[in-house]
Amino acid sequence: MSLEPSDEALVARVARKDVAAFATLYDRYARRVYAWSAHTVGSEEAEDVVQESFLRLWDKAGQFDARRGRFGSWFMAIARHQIVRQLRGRGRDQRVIAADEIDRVLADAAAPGRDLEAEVWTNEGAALVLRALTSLPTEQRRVIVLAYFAGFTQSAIAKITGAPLGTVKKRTRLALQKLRERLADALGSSWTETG
Amino acid sequence: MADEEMKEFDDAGVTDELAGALAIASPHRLPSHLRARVLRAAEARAGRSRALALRAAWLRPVALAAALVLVIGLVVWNVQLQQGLADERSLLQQLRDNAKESVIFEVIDSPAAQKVVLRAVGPQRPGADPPYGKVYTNANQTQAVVMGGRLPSPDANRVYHLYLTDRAGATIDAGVLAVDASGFGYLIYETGIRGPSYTAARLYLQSAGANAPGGTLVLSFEPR
Repeated sequence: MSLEPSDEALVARVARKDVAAFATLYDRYARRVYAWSAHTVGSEEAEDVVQESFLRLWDKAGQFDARRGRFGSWFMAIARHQIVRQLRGRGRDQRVIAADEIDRVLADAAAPGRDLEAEVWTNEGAALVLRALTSLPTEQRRVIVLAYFAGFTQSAIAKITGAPLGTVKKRTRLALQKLRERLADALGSSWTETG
Repeated sequence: MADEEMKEFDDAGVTDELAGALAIASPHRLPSHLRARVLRAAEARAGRSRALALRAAWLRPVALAAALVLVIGLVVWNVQLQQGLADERSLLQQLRDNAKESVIFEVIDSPAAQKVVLRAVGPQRPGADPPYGKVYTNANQTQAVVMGGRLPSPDANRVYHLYLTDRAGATIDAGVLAVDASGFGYLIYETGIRGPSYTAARLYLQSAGANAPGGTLVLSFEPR
């Protein structure tokens, strides 16, 4: 049994303006928002994105409804909105370059010498997804990165990659299916039921 | 990414973990100073919220008191308005009941009609509503119509006498206002001028036969 309060318990306290609970959620999620932002909009703007995302959490915590999904998904949607808003002012090429850099970083995570086992203890879900990403075929991982991290639509990805739209959709579906199955295998069948 | 495409990611249950995966793999490290900055910003917002809440708590009774005063004012104003309307209806009804001359309605019942109110002057009888009156003129007519209500019956040899002041400052004897037992009376003054205009009107209770202002001033309209 974990003595750590759940994200959902913490966000309920944040809704009552509990700064300590807010700080705990920052410690759990700031690293994710910062890394994503730093790769897409640069490290300086990334600090602003992190601050703005967490201030949105501070303001909107009362709107979180645990019946509609996990806190992590809800909050990262807020962060993603902030990042995409920053990305809109940039050209397509710059966004593609940022996505390719992320793709390379994810691929390199599978390189010898990287110890993902240590991360599994502290960040289990993310570590499992990272391991699954590294094992995806290159073209499947790329569509995931272009769509999720750089905010491209599947039509735009088809133009960027030169692949037919149907192929992009198929690659996306297969990639997500593998990620989901990998998580389900590792974390138990209840995970798939949340989808 | 379109909403329905994002839903695919949500359905896979990996949206937050993808960002977590990048955080593990990325060489970018979260700056340590950022935590204090974000917490300070949140606390500043909390402080503003508390200040607003305090201000709201202070303002609430003041707003309630202001609303109460407003409601009382509206009630008083409404009572006065209803009284004024009742007076108006009463005067017009009595005029209709009494007037034989159609000229009265030609003067008062027209968009070109102008009206001033004559208000009671001096001490009033305790418990009794004060007398009042109106002077009508009309841009298309040569007559002035004057009505009075709630006027006490005059003593013998005394009458109510109306004097008007024209724009040149001259005082004009408009005639005697005879009142009935209910205290209502009217007079039609033929001015000889189409669209007459006056700056003041005064009704005196004075000796019969007088032809200049004097005696007891009962009703008056004065320019402000």
